[in-house]
Amino acid sequence: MQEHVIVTINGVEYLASPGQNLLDLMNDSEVSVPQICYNESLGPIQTCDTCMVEVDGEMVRACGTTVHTAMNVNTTKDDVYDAQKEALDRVLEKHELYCTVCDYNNGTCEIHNTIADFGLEHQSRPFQSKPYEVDRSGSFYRYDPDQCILCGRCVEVCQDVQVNETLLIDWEREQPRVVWDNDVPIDQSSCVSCGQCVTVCPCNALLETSMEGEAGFMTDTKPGLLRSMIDVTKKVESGNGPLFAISDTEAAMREERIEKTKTVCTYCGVGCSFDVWTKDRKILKVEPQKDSPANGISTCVKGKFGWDYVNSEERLTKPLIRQDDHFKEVEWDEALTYVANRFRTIKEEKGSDALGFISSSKATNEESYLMQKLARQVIGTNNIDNCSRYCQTPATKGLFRTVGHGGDSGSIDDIAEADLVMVIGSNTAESHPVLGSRIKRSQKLFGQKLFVFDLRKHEMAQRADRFIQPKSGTDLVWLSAVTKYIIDQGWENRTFIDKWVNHFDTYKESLEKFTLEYAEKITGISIDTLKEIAWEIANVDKVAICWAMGVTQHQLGSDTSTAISNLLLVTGNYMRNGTGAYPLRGHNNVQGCSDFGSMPNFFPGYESVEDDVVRDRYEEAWGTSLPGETGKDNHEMIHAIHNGELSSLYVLGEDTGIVDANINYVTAAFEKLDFFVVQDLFLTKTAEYADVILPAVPSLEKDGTFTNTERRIQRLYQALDTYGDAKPDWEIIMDIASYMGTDWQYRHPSEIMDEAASLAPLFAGVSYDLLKGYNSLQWPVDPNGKDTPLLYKDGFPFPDKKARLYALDFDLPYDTNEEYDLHVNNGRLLEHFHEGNMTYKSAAITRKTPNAFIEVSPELAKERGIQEGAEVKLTSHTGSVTGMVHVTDRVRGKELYLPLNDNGKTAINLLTDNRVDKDTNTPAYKEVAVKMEVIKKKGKSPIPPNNFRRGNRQPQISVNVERKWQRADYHMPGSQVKQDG
Amino acid sequence: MAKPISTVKKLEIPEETKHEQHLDEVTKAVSENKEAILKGIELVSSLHESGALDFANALVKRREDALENIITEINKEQYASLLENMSKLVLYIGELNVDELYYFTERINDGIHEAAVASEDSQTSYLDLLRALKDPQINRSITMLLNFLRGMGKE
Repeated sequence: MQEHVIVTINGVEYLASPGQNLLDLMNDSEVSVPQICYNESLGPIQTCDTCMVEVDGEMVRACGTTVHTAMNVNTTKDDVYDAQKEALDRVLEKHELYCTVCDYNNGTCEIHNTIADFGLEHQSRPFQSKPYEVDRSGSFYRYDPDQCILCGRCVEVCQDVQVNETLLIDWEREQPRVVWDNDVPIDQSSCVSCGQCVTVCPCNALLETSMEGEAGFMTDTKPGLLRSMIDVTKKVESGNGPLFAISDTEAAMREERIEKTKTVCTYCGVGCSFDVWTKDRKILKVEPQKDSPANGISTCVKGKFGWDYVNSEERLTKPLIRQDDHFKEVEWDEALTYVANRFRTIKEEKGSDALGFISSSKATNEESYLMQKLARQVIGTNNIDNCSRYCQTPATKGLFRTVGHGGDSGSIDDIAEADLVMVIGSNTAESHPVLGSRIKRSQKLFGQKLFVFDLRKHEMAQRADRFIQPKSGTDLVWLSAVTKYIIDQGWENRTFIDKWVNHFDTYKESLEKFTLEYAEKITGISIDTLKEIAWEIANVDKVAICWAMGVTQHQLGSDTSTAISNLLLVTGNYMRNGTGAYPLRGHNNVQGCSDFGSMPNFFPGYESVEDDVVRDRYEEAWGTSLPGETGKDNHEMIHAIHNGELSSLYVLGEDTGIVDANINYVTAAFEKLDFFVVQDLFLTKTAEYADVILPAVPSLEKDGTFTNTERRIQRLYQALDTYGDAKPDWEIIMDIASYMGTDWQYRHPSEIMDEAASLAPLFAGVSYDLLKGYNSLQWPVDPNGKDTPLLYKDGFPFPDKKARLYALDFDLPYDTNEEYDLHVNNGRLLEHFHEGNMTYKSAAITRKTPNAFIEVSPELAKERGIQEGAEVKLTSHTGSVTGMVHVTDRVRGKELYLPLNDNGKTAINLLTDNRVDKDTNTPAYKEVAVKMEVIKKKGKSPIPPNNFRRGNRQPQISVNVERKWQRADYHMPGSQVKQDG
Repeated sequence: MAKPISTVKKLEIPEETKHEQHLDEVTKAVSENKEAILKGIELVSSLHESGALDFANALVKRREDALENIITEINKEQYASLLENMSKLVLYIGELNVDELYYFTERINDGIHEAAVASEDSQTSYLDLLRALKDPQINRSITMLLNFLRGMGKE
């Protein structure tokens, strides 16, 4: 294979890689050429024609040219200059330069910068206004066709990066423009408001609504006056030189007033990072960067626009102490003294294990570390857990059993690189939108196969090459049957197994039961389909399996996760890029919260509390003896309160009273507590039961690190001052320790990380210096700072470096019955997060999606005689909810779907019960049988007309620039110059 | 038995305490920036004495009206050429060769001086003109003007 290609540019030879884009080569080699539509993250779009160069005597677009051997490029000839100038003139005919009074004049306008770099002093033709109104119908961003140069970046990103397929350019109309769906207002379209079109727009044509009138010193004027100012600006600043001198000065002044701070998203586990632009406490916009390691330029609606909660008037500003029938605000000293005294008394009277601690997946790694340190060192108990118990622990368990690390095998890049992606029990497009888009893109453009296994026909299922609907909770069976069939056919990866896998024979024996016939009977998947799936898995090179709550929140959640890993081992789909197991973590720091020791059985880095050697290390470091027995997990703590064994609970950033299963039982436990401390931003449903509420701050108001689903540790920097008297969790925990007589004296979270890294071998080389800006580290991190993007490259973390197949059985004690005849599936919605404490604070999001709803299949609706908007009551054997019906074929038969994002009368956990995964105590949230009572037969739909679910997607690949070139009035700039000359 | 409650009684901080806290903050800032503050006072004082402070104060308070008045006014057609000329004038000045212009202007000034002191009544005949060419000073002027005309007519 040829390693490089020599290309001559202006007489100088350059080395290019084969297949490299010419413009990309020139940018790398710092050969200057104008460019507007080209964006490194998007690749060539070929719409702006400004990068015209001469290649082997022909005038071509550099971005549309691939290098070849002995290519000769000239960028300095007069007709090259003329062609580029013509293209820029066309751009300026479409885009009015009033930079000084433009909200986009922040130094990054690519039109402004390209014209300035090119040195174009006067445009040959005046700006021509287009006959379209600004589209301000949406709540998140607006489109100004008059400023739009039709570069098509927004279309490219919508079609091929986000793959929501909403934006198009209608090239055939007299004045082409960007259209949404089949030319409807933004608000009425299928747009999911991910904001990526706005992020990649090179100018102010697409602009975040929050930026309008806020960014500039003179941009907040009334429209009429603004128009006058634009006119005056243009008269005074005749020629581009003076215009740029003034507008660049104004842009520099903005730097003084607008802060740009790198942060990490605080919603799902994808771990998007971006700059947040703030002006005092106002959040102007969120700007993802091409160097953002997990997401690049991508975001979803929550990360891009869902930050209103930070400035909500409902934020707590002072500590609260329960007094009779109300909470009274107090100063920190009073609250901390009270908490410390009560903790001390309970510890003295009832022992350390009478106290329990629950950490938060919203809090930082450092805060998780301090919370477990408080429990273990100061109180002396292992009763410490976190919300991963509600979702992720079964996946971790399954991986520990088989491959030894409780995390994703590789990076999101590996998922994108796989030949076959299997998605099991995950609505990735809504739950992990940016990661889902990577799969959608690979499938759409690069021939990746997508198999989806789910009850519900969600977006991933609609797009899948194969969509299979096993009966609820039976994934273990088809996984095992497929694995057995692969072995029976001799399709297993023998070399891999011989070299890297233990217990093959005992495992094979355990598969006896899982015949294709048995699987068909239990799962409802036909024998033929099972055989086809097995053949496909065995016959592609790289398989990655993603799974989520649809697998873990079952009584057999750990076993099913294990079955997934078994299948990957048998087919040799570990240790290589593009393969592996990907339990998609649900919260921004659900991975890190467990990683850093907020678990009843593990110190930080998953080292057992029962291991004397490990405990000695911590005892020495912390100067005290530590408890050596596994403590209680969340679920056991709630039981222990009912039994009178647990008297005090300290819950940090967790609305346990909504998110735990069977909340009637949970809140009844809260009422029995002697002492209950809740630390949160808001007076949540859980906090209503507290004796003391401590006001904490959100991610934007503190420093720290989060760990995403890729095991990637990323820094967040404080963007805003703390609100009122609220404090970061780490400071509050440190204060409590201090009031209890243990003075830790950390001055900054980096010192907490240093301590954790010095004690937990998994994070040995982690330091804030290595995590500066957009740098990140994927654990395990060696003492020298080398991280591990792909796990198991040199073997598995067991003494003989071999993975272990793990034998399983299947016995499912759940089904619907005659009385409770409907199965309730539940999960996430794109727009809201968790119980909604954060996202419902956004007026814009709530306007689009005001409430939860109950999805009912058309056949069930017909059978029960109900229609869209009906009101029904669902009753399980533990409780009931009422809600509005949305009839949709996303669900089938007697299966219902209820989004979990509600904390009122439609809260799913009024229905769930105390059944748990047998191995980890994770609630079996997905096993809910109910009966339905009709309250009202029809009514107003719970989904407003401006919800994206009502839109009409328009799939195509890229922007269809050929249709532009086919227009009668189009000439390629170079050709026209030649004709004119 | 803790029943769920959601009423909050705000902590009333006495006005005096708030006042004291604010004063503390300000005093601290003043002490940390003593030099700058003193210079600032001096600046404000001179602005006040000159009356500029009142002017600026009024203008800032009425900035919306002022901006609107000015912008609306100068955006009128009659000012269009003025605005354009203003910026063109700037460009024009950039084009001038100031060193040479300085020499030229010096000559013109000398000429003006001579003209001013000469008697208003004296007349010049055709022959006086021819004779004058022999005067080296006049000859230098004429030659310079002829060269000027040549340069000006260059294509």
